[in-house]
Amino acid sequence: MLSLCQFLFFAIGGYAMGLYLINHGPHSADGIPECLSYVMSAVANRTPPWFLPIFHSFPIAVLMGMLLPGLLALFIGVTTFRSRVKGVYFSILTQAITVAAWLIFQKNDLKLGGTNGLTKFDTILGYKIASDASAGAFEQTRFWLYMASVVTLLLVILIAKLLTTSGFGRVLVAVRDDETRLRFVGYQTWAYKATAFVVAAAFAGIGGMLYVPQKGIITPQQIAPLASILVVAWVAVGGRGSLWGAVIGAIFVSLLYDFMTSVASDYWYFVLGGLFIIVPLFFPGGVMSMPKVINGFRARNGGKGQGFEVIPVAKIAKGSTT
Amino acid sequence: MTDISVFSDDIHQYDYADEGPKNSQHWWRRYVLFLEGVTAVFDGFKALDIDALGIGHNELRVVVGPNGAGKTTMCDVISGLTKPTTGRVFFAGEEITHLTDTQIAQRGVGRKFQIPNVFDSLSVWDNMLLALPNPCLQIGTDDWMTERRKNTNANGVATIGLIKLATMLRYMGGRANSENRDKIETILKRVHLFDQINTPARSLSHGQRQWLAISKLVIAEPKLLLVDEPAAGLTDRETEMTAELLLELKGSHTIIVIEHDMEFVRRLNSRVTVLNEGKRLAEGSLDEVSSNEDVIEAYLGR
Repeated sequence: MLSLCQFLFFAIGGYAMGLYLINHGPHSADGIPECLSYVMSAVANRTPPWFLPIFHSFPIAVLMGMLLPGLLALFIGVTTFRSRVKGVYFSILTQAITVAAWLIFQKNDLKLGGTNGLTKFDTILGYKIASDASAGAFEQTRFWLYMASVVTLLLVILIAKLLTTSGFGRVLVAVRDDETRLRFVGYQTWAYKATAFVVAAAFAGIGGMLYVPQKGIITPQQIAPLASILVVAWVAVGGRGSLWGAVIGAIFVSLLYDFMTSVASDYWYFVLGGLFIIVPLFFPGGVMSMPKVINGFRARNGGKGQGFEVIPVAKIAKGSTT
Repeated sequence: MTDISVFSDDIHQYDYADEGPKNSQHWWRRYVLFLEGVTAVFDGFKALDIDALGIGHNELRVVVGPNGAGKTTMCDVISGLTKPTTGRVFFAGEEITHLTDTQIAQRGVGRKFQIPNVFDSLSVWDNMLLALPNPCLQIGTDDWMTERRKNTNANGVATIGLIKLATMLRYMGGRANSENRDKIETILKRVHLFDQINTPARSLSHGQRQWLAISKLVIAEPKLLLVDEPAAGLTDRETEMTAELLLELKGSHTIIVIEHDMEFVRRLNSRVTVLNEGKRLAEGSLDEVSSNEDVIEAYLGR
């Protein structure tokens, strides 16, 4: 199942963390966090959103950052998978949900900062986020946030590895191979698909929570449909059906994005489009399959490169996207 | 659920269709499966129109018929893939007409499709694990609720729910305990797949995939096995082996075999139902039906 709303879950996690951070950030004279106060007109009912105090406590904010995307994914997953929506229809549906959420989050009435998003953060867990010129590298909050990201990444990969190698993972592979057959063994496939979807959403929420304090801002632009398509590019480039492939793909594409936007930002979308064509054509397994593809290519040409042989499209279509 | 083994004596001589819900008080005890007035209509085309069809306990029934006779549609209706337009389907003492395909599978209807669909990226072993009878799949069913009520004490402490959850996690995707290992080994040795236990199913030959599909069906211990064209695309030797396999299951399992390879049907030496244009044309031994004039006309008269 190809989900195109992964960055919606990411952003919900991000907003949860953002709400925690603005609770502890600078406030305007009448006690409203500055970034919210900025987009509120002077005459209208100037009250902070009712849910703001909930996110005052760090553990609750973290819990919400995983729970809210998880609950949304549960709702989407159960309703779509139970009615056996799958393949491209599922992708279109998730993209539609993303666009709707994108528009909703831009509304000022939601009191989430409108298009400006949440920003003006000050401290996290009592530590200043901004880098301190007088302190050493290891005393910077940003360094520890970065370390937290690395540790979380490893933890998430470990959990994902345990899930995929367990019986649950076996059921998921079977769903990918032949869902109908599995239904006739007696498995309620929608429940397994929904569970995988919820876990993926919670992981995305964690990602969002780590992103926000380091970036210093979360705006509806993170929910934009293109962001979620970028996730698909990460996975496609890195290698479908492989956990490290996704990590490598994410790093590779993000580096490419940074490079392109600083050198020739107008051409980034052409490069992204090119990736979408070249990778499935020559490396259907992504970066992770490159050694295999190159070896095969060498073996076919007796060591002398004569150009690539195109791998049949049918093989790509059969490839895995979970 | 009714114990269907009470009438395990040989009742195969009956023409089951003459009885059924209307005529017999205990009709359901005689049959594992009973189709009553089942029709399936697609866009005005009547693909299936069966007045009555009963399958007895531990019977091997072969369903034959020319192309488009509704053999596979019948299988679809029994396994819940297609809902019948009219009529009722009874299985093991209960009406299953309105259950979903998964629920019907959990009641004990196992099915092998025309194309031997196994899970391609999983190994032979993992394929077998997934097909094991799985107690966690029963969660939420009536049986499970009864057992749960029995185990919940008067104070209403429902720890049994937690125990069940633990069972579910342990059994998810099949549990390889020693008992299950032995079962899988025995059956894989029987179909000569034991040497290829770690091979991904996609690397198997067509015949081996057919056997793997049949093995998966048998290990799930269903009350009824629906075997759709087990000999399709097999070599003569493989067909012979498949027939032997089915004959071994005969007598201890209730099986419906759909086939139009007449040589194969003769090998099975069982009661035959002939379908034509969705209707039940004749029923009896192969010699009986092949001398039936209607059958000869349906096969040759066009």
